[in-house]
Amino acid sequence: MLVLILDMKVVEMIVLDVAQNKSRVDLLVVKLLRDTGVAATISTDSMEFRVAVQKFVYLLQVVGGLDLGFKFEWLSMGPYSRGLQNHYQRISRTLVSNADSVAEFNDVEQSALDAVKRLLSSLEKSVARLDVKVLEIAASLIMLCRDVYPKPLDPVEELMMRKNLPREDVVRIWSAIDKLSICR
Amino acid sequence: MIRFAFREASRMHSVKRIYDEVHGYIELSEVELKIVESTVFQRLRFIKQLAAAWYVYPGATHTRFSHSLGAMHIMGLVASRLIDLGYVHSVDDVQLLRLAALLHDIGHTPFSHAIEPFYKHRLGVGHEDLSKIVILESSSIREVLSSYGYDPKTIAALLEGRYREPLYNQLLSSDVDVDRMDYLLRDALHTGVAYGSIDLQRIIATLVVDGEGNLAILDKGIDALENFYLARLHMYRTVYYHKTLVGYEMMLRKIYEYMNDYAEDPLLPKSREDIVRIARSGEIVLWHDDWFLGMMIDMYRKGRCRELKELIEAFFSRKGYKVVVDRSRFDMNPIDIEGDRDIVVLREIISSVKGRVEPHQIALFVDDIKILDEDPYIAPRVIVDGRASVPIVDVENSVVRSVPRRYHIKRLYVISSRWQDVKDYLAVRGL
Repeated sequence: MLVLILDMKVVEMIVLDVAQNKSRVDLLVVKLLRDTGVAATISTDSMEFRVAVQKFVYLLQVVGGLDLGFKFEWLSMGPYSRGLQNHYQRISRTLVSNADSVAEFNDVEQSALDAVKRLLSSLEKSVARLDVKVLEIAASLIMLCRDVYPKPLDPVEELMMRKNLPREDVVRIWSAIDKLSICR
Repeated sequence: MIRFAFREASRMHSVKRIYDEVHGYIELSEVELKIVESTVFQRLRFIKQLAAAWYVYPGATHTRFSHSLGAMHIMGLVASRLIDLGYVHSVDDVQLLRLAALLHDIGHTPFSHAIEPFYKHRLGVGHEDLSKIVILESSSIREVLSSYGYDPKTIAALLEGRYREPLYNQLLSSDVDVDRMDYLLRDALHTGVAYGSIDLQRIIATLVVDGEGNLAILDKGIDALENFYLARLHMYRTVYYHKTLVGYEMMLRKIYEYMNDYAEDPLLPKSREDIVRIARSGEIVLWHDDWFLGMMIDMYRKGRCRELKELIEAFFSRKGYKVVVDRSRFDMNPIDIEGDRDIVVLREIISSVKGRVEPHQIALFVDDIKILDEDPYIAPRVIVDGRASVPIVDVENSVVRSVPRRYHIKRLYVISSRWQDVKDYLAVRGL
């Protein structure tokens, strides 16, 4: 939880996750959902939508270097942030209403979006598709090589040991990540 | 009292036992005893589990010390069941998990959650970050862990949910984790809120892991799981977000803010580096409720700041913030902070009473409490008919489906000395 003191003259405690730069996350995620074409393949009330939101935000923070203030845990489906539960609905509303069409991004945000898109474009070339499963595999491999402790010797083998995934896809996705030096 | 056959005692060599009011005897291994004996851990004896809840529930004087022992004990029970089922890999892992549970609150601020948001807002440092700092920077904790072959970074990773084994992360942080299991039982006992209690035995006895590696409950344990959620809902409303209790917590937070402006003390850290410094130097052992109360008395006597003096006096005489308007309610959706009509009204009221109350005499509190993790991604699962693993929120006939997902708290408080005046003013205006 994050405390937001909106008016220092009055003791005002808004004890919420929805605060400060976290409010920008909605626009950033919608931008990625649209630009990558993932939005067109999933329904906003589906599990896939939530997975996509989780993985896009993780990639924006880790690959894009944007501090959106979300903490990610290493769970069975890869990186997961509880704080994002507060955002699914807002992101869905923004997507449906096209409220993002007039959104402007500052240089740091644009640079983060570009970095994530570069990675996703590279992944798409490697496995000939970009869907939620590819996002899940990529985000999991990156978390394994960057955040998980103790660091596994081989992220591919670590992921394969835990998940029933097509090995060929995992290897190709890892190869694309490795080429971009994301884990070094 | 919850008493179990202590199965993990046979796995780990116990060198001491401590009698606990919730669990009965809690056994400690050698490394656990060394941790408990350290001054950094003993500090937790001086931090009340429920901040100033004793102003509402006189018996709620229990501490982070007993809760930490309780969480460790429950972790031992859970891990012992999971080692039998093959999901926890070794007795050494059981010890690792117990140590993580024991240390999960080691960094708590004085007055627990009353003061913690101050650091979260100012420095972006929550109590989990503080625990990590203490584990990695306090030589007494670090050296004990290292001398017994435990990597402090591994404990920190477990507490941050970054450990390599996702299941272990879930045991420490999920809707039904060992922290929650202990604090619900302990807080219900000490407040006397009978409907806040849970069936720990049944939950643990039916705990399993599904095919995806998620914690799950066998369907024969579903009543215990449902009761867990209902107990939590009751505790949120009657204890954790009790209107008077929240008022005193806000008052303590406001006093702490003023104190940071008017007092110089190494235990009033202004940056993350300051926190690291007091953890390294060992000064942190005095950073607790009693130190803060002493500072309050000192500041009251010195009287350097009129507003601070008034707040301290109000706190000690139990004439703190009282609710003048309460628009709290259960809801199924997250709060819309910008568009919420109640919040707009409360802010309008604040503007309208300017001149009647001084800024430090009025306080707005808004929070959005998640009653359960509705995300199927992480919601606790139930093994139905021995096969399908289904999120509890999707189990047909489960009462959890009807439990409200959120508790939106929207309250306006005014200090007791100005409360009647504001109440009358609002009544005249039909508010």
